[in-house]
Amino acid sequence: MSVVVDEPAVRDGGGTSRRRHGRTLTAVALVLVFAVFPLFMSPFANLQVTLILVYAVAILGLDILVGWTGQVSLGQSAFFGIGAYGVAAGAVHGWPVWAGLLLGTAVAGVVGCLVAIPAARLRGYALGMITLTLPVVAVPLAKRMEAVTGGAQGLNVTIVQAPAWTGLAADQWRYYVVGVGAAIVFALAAALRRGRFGRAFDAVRVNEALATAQGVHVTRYKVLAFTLSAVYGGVAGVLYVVAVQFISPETLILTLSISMLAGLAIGGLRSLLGCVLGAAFYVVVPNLTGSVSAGQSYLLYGVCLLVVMLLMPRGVAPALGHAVRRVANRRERAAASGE
Amino acid sequence: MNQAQSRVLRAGVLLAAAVLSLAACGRGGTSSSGSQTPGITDTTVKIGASYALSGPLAANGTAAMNGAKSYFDAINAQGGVKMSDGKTRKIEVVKYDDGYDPARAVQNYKKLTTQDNVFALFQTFGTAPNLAIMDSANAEKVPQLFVHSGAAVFSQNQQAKPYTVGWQPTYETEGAAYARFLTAQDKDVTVAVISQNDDLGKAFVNGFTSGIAGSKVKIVAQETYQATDPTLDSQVTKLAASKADVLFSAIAIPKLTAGALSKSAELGWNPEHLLVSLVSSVDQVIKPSGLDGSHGIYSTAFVKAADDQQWATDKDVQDYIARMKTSAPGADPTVPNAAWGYGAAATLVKALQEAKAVTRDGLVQEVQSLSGAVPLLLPGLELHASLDGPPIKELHVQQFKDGKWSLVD
Repeated sequence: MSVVVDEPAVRDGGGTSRRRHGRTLTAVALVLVFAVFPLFMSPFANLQVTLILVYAVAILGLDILVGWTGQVSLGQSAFFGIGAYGVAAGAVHGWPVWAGLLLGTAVAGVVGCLVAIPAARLRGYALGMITLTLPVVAVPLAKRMEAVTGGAQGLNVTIVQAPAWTGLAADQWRYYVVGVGAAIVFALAAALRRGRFGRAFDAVRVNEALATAQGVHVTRYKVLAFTLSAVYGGVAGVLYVVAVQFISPETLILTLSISMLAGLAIGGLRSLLGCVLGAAFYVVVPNLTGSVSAGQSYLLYGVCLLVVMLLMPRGVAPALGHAVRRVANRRERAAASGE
Repeated sequence: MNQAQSRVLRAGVLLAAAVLSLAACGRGGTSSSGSQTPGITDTTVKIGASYALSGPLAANGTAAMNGAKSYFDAINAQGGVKMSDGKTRKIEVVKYDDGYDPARAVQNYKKLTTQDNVFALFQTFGTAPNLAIMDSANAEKVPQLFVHSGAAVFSQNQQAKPYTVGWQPTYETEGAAYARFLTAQDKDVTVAVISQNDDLGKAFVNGFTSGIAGSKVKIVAQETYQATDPTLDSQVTKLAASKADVLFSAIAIPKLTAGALSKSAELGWNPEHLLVSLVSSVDQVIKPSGLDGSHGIYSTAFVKAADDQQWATDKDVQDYIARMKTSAPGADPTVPNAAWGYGAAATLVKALQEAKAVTRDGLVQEVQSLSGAVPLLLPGLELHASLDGPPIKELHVQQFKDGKWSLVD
């Protein structure tokens, strides 16, 4: 392989057995903390974590396109909206949630693919401008297609109620449902990244000419990245309606797309953890700054954004990974010299 | 399986068992839903609010917040609200910014009801954020009072959603007020209508259409526009061909309204203009349009405007301006949202005072039977609670004359 990749896609298998066990233990502990969390925390905390997972899925979709494949998109909020309206409109007509999920994500994928076919020929700012039209069109469209979308008022739904046998409150049940959904799509993305597709996306990002020379069909992979990204946006929209039980055109505005892009930059490109951290920043920081001063919440949010980008220009996840690796190496060296 | 792995596995199984047994206990006693008196102490009553304090509607949200604050501050300075159990309580408001994002409004709702444990929600801002909260509030029996929106959906069915209610007249009511004004003249009038092509525009037009049914007033031409349209020139040109006597502009955007007014004059049409109250600003709409009102410009109002000279000596208006100056120095008291916030706060205080039981249900019952005066309402207007509409059900028509608005009915 002569393709230059600034970060190896495959990092498993390396490291000492001690480090591997440490990692397994950490993973088990994380899953347990995640599973127990909603049983003890307030509905507000549960909703925040649920929303973090929702936006993390959307940001992961964006990462497939931006981080993995090196394209730009300001259209993620439109795909988010398609998924959300798919499940909400389905619920209004009495469909089960899974049918809405299928419809929402399928339509998001098809639209993503259709947009990608011409867009894949563009690069940089031109591509950004094309994708910019998606949220610009999505909002008036959502207002106009009143029969499906409920017009400017949006759709109120009651879906994903906790079954009686669980004894769980609605916020707890929805936390688990969104959590499992997010875990599945994150696992799929991780598998994809490790395999043939992940390497091909890397090749397209790093050097298109070289990728072509190696037999990677650049346009085809760009369209694929766009489609996947749109499907993830659609899934996130569905999960959003599960969490919030409401969707209206105000949600699809361009600001959401920009916030997702900012979240991706904050978390760090090409990192699953980064997607979650970026989403957490987007959800939690405005709430924290709002508690400090309700009137200045977004101003303070902006300040936090700048500070993080100045201190960690590559994002929080790479900075964290770097710190952890340094500590682990030091400890190993100390252990080795001690033995 | 080596030793380390089996140790991890054993720890995992143990932890999982612990989790499952804990899950059986569940989360006990942290939720306030079901309780009737959260946020009530012997000396305070805690109220929660969520406003758009950032984003495109920040100016309106901040004005609404300041208006309400200036009234609550004044009441607290007098000692507080005397409630039916004989105790006098100060009003403590916990407020958060939602940036007009429904997802953040829902988070604020959860925070206010389960962490801050407020007694009631008050004046949550905007149609979408309130819709996102409405179902939860009713399921959890949390009063969601006097929401800051003219959408009928919050008030029209209080039988089914007793915990949610609006305050200001609905957009339908406003449309009907123009119809009443025209039909009262009892002569043949032709009307051209231009409206925003969404729920808002439709609500105005529906109210108007049902108001003129069976009268001598007839709609002869109708056009719609999108909020994103740069101008309304083509719509106004088409409407001008009808040579209607009156142009009813159910337009929600000041800049477009100003353009529509000047275009109609430019075409030599000169109809009487009916402007919805959202776009009746003298500075933003009428002055830029260049019209002097000699052919008749009308709008509606239900509160006394702080900059209207006829109220310069009115006690309500003087108090309002003085209190705004104390509580929110630098804020503009002429912004309608501030006056609405002030009036809605006064309505809440009245309901707290008169509620027969100091409970959430007691408050809701009182809200559903409120009547009487609150500060800043125009002469002749009062609260008239009912289960199918907000407590304020009427507006007065005003005419633009000599550079300002004056009431005509």
